[in-house]
Amino acid sequence: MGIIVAVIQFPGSNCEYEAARAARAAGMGADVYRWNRNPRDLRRYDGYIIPGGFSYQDRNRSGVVAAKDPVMDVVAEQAENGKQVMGICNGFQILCESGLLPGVVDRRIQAGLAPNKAVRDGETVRTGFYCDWVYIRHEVPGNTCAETRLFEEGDVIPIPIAHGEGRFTCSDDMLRQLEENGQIVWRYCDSQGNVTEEANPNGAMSNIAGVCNVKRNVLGMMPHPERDSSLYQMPESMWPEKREAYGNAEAMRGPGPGLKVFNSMRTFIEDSL
Amino acid sequence: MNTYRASVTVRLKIPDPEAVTVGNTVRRMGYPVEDVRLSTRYDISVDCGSRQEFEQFLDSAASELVNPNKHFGSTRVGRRKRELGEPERFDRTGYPTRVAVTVDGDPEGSRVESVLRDRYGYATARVSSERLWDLRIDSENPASVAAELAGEPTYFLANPAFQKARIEG
Repeated sequence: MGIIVAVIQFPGSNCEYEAARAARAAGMGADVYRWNRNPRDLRRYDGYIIPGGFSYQDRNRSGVVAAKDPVMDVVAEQAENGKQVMGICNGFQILCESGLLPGVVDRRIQAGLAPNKAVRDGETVRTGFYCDWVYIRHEVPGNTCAETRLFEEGDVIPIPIAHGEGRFTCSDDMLRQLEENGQIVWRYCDSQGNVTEEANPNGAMSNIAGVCNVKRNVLGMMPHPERDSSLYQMPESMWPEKREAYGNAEAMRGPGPGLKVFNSMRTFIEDSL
Repeated sequence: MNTYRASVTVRLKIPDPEAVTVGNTVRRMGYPVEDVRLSTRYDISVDCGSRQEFEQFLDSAASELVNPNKHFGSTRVGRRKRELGEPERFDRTGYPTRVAVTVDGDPEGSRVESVLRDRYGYATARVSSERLWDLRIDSENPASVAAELAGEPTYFLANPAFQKARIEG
């Protein structure tokens, strides 16, 4: 029996099928698992993906209502047992609101994804929903975080973002702990890998785009790896390799940089079985 | 030039789906909350040369924030309250506990500020916003229930990483 992961669908999720397709492209089986099914059935899966979207229409604040759903108790229990959990965009918000990330102290809420507010030289330049392609830099050595173990430290990839509440925020003390523990996995950067204020699309503290927990089996990231997991999804201006594939249908179905996230997930599960 | 201050309060006329969801969720969590109402309050200040100019400014700000077709809205300058359109029917006496929530950096306030500056030319306008959750709680100690919803152990109404909650009533 092969590896099979659950892609958890809440009311308002909108990337569950793309995430399942990317997981399958990486060689895993993937079921879209509705939030109101019996949570105990979740235990049979090898890993979990909480996809993007607007669970419960982001009511009150993004992710907080889904975080109180019973399925999240099972996800927390299985994460404690060492299984992998990846939250993308709204999934990242849900993991923060449920206390699974950054997970430095039990399941306490220690961080959040606040409404976007990008500032340049002290002036607010952007608030509200923002959708664009950005670059992110991998901040930890290879084989560190389960879901990005195939990336090397300093790898830069283009990737899309689409969110209104993605400004990673925590206390200064927590930020220091995240730095010291090596839990900051992705940072927004420019195409050359420079982490700058201009490259920060949402005002995230320290340009943080993704963090993992202390045990490194739970990852949350605001950008969408499932939306750049195939070559045909990539803009050629940011991924020149695409030009070489024009006219070749098979080559166009080749991998985009985001597929490595799902491949990392698969290899980690294979090694842990 | 004098600095003038006012507040604008906005509430949906229809049952607010966000408040309904919050009510359903906290009841599912086991809290005796009978009903929840949500409104947003904007505190605005601006430098104006005259009272008349300030009244013009306040009309512009209110028109940005309140659509009388779907909102109950009011402005308050000092003790003077003015309804914008249909008078609000909500009676707060049945909802004695209020949790006011602000967001660090206040992006919503910044957004309104930039509209007033860029669209209307009020360069000195300053806006802060807070969401007001009015709760009808079936408990002998409603303030302690509200405290648990706003802070430890649920942090449901405010995430301590970027929000601050204040309990009134």
